[in-house]
Amino acid sequence: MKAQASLITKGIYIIIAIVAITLFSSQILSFSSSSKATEKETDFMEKAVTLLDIISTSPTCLGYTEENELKTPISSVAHKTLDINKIEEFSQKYSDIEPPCARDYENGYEIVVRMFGSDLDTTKRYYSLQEKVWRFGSTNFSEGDALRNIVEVSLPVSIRLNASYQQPGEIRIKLVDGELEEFSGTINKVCDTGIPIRKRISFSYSTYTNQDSICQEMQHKLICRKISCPATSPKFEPGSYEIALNKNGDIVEIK
Amino acid sequence: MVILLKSSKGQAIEMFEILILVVILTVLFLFLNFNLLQRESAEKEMLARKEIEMKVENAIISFKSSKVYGTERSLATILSDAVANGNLTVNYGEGYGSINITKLVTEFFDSYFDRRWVFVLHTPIKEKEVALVLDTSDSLKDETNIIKSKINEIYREGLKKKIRLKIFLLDGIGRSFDCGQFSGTEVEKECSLLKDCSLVGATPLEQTEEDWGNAIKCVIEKYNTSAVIVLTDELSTGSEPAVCTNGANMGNFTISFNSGLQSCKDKNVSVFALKGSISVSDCLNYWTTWCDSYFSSRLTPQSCQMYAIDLLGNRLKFVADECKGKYFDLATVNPADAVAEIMKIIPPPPDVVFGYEIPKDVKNVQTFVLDIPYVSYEGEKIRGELKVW
Repeated sequence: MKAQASLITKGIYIIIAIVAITLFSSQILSFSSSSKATEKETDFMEKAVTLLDIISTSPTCLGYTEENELKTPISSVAHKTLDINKIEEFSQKYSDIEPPCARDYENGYEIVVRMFGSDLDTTKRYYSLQEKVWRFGSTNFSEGDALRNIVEVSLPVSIRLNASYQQPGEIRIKLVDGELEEFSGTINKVCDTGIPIRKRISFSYSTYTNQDSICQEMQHKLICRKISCPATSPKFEPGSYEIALNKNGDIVEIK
Repeated sequence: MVILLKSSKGQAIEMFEILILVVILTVLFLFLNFNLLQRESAEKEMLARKEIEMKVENAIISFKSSKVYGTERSLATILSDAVANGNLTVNYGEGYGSINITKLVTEFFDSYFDRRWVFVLHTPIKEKEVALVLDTSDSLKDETNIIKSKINEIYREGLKKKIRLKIFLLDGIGRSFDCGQFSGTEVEKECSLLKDCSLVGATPLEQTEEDWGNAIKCVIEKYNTSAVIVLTDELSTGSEPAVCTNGANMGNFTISFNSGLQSCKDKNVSVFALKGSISVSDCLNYWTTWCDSYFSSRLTPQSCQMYAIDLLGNRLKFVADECKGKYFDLATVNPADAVAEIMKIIPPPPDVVFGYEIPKDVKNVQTFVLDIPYVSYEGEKIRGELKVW
């Protein structure tokens, strides 16, 4: 009788131990995965900010530079002053692709620059300026299962209209991590550097190249992204593939 | 039977141990869960704070460099000009007109922080002026001399707080000193005779140098002073009628006193009262002849105590209390120390504030330094704080 009772108690101990270990380990695992997700989110946001910094301060991007008498460019990096002429140029030239001055081979992005309007009445004269918005960078991004992460960050800037005025405004980035962005980034990297790449890549939807764009067929939608040089590839059905990219002349071949 | 009892007792102990184990594990589980959740929310909060920090840093850069269309000067420079000019609407001359910096600053920060900000510039836009009203009768020369001995120090301390001390001397036929009393001091240029103030004297004497009641009204309403300090040793318009007639004739005292009192209450201006030292024997010395010749009455020590000392102290204390100031009896306090203390009590003018009030339920308010250059003083900065929530 006593031996029987002790056996039951031992059984209960074992069950409690198993339940406790399961609960604790699942708790720790869930925390570590959520903390990894937060870390990933932070890194992704920092990446967006870095890109914004480059775009708004680099003289090859939108940063305003002026030349002194010795024709040495003086960058107004510290002031984050955007050149309105460059904004105009970028909005026309890179209306559907990321500019080469800040290319990201892993993610895609869209930039929106907004110059605030203003009304100023000095009692002697009236100055009025309409709000203006420009955009450049990618227009289409991964959606549904193909979308992994997305973040939007905006920073205050001033936009140099001319030697007299610098209007306040903001620059906003939409940074996207997804299958299309990863695929197009890899193609762009091979296109820009000419170095062949082998890579494992996964697709949630049918994906194919179409001259200078890559497209993904969703259930009721076709999403295409522009790439920096034409590419040829087979149609990839949903799944994981080991692909090889080679630049042949101006064309990137994907096998 | 004994074995069975022992066995069931052992079982009960084992079950109890299991219960304790379950309780301990549950508590541990909850504790761990709570801790992990707390860490997770702290990380998310940190991320949000970082995002705001970044935005504010860039907004500050933009504030210092943006030259809004039509201004040709950066927002920070226009604000600095406004502080130097003592007016938030800066006039840039006939040809250009003026700029309202409040509108520009509000529009600028609203664009980024949408009514969730306040910008405090730690400097007042205008100096505060404090009037030191002096009864100029001969009996107050001693107190005035003591004040003069420390007046430079008092004046400078006031200026540090953006409070300018101005001296107004009550004018009248019995005036015993003028602004020359302060010659050689820094306040000489701040001293003036108080004229055009409808000052009256006690009937039948027309000596207006003791009408501090009407003087309070005048410096408040005509000179826009923010606080008034009165130094006197007589009832307003003069104590003679009261002491000579045992209170039956108060002269113009009540009218003058009430007009000063009403004005300080209406305009919410603090009044500080300094009662010059006067004794019964002083009173008897001063007014026996006056009472004989003008009022045909005998002056008594009781009348002196009641009207020249007690009533005077009482009225001065009353006006100081009613007008949120302070009363000082100079029989026990050094006059210069009293004025210095008053200058310390008077609060400095308010800082320049733009933006919105922080809602009471908001906990996460982040504060950032936003100094602007001080155009009047090369290399110096005006300290500013931008709060965002």
